[in-house]
Amino acid sequence: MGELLSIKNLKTYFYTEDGVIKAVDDVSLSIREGETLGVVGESGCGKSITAMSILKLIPNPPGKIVDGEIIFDGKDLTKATDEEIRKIRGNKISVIFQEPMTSLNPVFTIGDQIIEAIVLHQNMNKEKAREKAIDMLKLVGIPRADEVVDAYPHELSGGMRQRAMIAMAMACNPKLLIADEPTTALDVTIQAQILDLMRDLKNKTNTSIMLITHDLGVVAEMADHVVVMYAGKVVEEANVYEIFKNPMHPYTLGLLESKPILNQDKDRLNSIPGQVPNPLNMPEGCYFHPRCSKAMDICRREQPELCSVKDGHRVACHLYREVK
Amino acid sequence: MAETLLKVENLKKYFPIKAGVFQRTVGYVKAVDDVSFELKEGETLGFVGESGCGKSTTGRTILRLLDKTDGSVYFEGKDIFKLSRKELRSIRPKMQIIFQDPYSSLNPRMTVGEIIGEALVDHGIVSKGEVKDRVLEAIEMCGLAPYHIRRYPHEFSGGQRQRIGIARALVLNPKFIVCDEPVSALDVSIQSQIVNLLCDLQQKFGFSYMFISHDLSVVKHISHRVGVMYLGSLVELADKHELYKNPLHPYTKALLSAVPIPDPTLKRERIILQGDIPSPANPPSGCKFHTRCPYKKDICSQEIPKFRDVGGGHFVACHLV
Repeated sequence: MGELLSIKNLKTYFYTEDGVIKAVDDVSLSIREGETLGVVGESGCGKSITAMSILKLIPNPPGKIVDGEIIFDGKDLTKATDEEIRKIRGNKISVIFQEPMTSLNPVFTIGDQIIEAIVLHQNMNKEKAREKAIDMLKLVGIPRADEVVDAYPHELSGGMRQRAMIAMAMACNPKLLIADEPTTALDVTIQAQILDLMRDLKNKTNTSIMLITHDLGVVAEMADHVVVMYAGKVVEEANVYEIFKNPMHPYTLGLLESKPILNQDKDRLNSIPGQVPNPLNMPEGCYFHPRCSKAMDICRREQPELCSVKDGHRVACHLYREVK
Repeated sequence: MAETLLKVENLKKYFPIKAGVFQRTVGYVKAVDDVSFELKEGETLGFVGESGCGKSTTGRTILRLLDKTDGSVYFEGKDIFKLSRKELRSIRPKMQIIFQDPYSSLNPRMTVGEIIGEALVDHGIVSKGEVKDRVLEAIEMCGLAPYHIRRYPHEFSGGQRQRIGIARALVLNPKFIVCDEPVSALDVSIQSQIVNLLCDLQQKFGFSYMFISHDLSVVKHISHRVGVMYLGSLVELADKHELYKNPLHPYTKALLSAVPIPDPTLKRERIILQGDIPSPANPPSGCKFHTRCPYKKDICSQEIPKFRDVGGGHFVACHLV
């Protein structure tokens, strides 16, 4: 499997009146063809901003990609012109957002919105594009697709809207699908439907998926490879079996232990004390040290680098420095 | 056996749908449709279900924040819908609620001290001089610092605000607290802090909780017994170990199998339900779940199944059991 996308030392900063927010601070990750990469972290850890940076969807000002490379298909997207990036958006890379309610345009029908992308990117005329739109809606399991194509977003339920979003995203056979919390706003039974659908489509089309979520359960089910982010940095990275069997970073460990798990009984949940640091006022050294139970002197002074401890398992923590 | 604190019998809450120039009632949304259960002192009863199934409305109707359509709610043996305004007011401090959204449930113009102390003053529970002491006591129990009482809600993070919400309920020394999705808006690492806090407080003061959530894992962790709701009705209610190990209702089974478990090596049989939840304004006939049920039989679309005890306090409403 070749590398489809590789992000190297990406830095996306926001310049606000109060100071510079380092939303994405030196993040490197890569996605191979046909692979699902799970990006996990709490709100504000920079996982969505990383994804938005790929398609240059960062509002500028105040946001700016300060440094780094995003290599997709051999091309650096950070250097692409608006014209070039527009050809990639919705075509080779498409996005599913969290809120199916707000990410669809309420004054256009579902069909209009899918057809728009197809006409723009695939040189089809309107009739052909409409047929394709109906096919796509059928593919994502929408019943009565030929009627739904003329429906407005408000006429559909949350799950249906998310299916329509997926149909739209998949319409141009993208090589990479960025799914930003695609099921967070949905109920569990509907979430199961949508995850099932995404897995199905991935197997059929061999599309790579970048799945952004805070739900470790979803990651365990969907991802091949996992990246854990905290305060704008990657703190741990490994394949999915390794990360759940052998989590190394205290933050990853804390996340796994603080969630009650359905098939296990615990008397008390372990919790990570404190809260995510203020992005305007990051602690010295390792960003996690004020909440870390294993913090040492060096953690307060020096920022750990992400280094490989085992085959493909990388972690940014001073505890594992010698192992290297 | 602990005493029964709360008894809910055939509670119904319908919201009228109005239409036309004259705003005539053209139908009803049956948000809560014939719900019965009991809650003992010191017990946590979890309520799970998908959005729109009526779990929050049930919680609010029990507190008489909404008026009932039918049925009765007994709190400490008294039917709260038969109480006069004055009597109701005297009972209010004993029944509290913690809301889901810690952002919209705190008044942004009041300091934390005022928010927590307001009810104490209003109900005249303690003398003016004591209010501050009680507030400080509550705030410390919830893991906040004394200097926080002079601050405003916007200065706090989501988790801290939820602690303020808990302190506000706690300060009145209640017996029963409805927790309406108290951790849903919080990040995972903060969720566990709040869940632990709620457990600690229960052990210390013997509160009864009605814990409403859509997260089955959290509900299992915190509850003693769990009720599953679908379209306004309870479909199953049992001890949590029993319910999660031996679910009887097809909806409970599907719900449990749909919860993602953070273990990639685990391979599970998954029941994927077809379709969406029907509209509560026009629920299906007979068993409300029959439109999505994989095991449906003829009787299911004709007759409403009874919610009955099938042994050992395991209640279920299904024709097939």
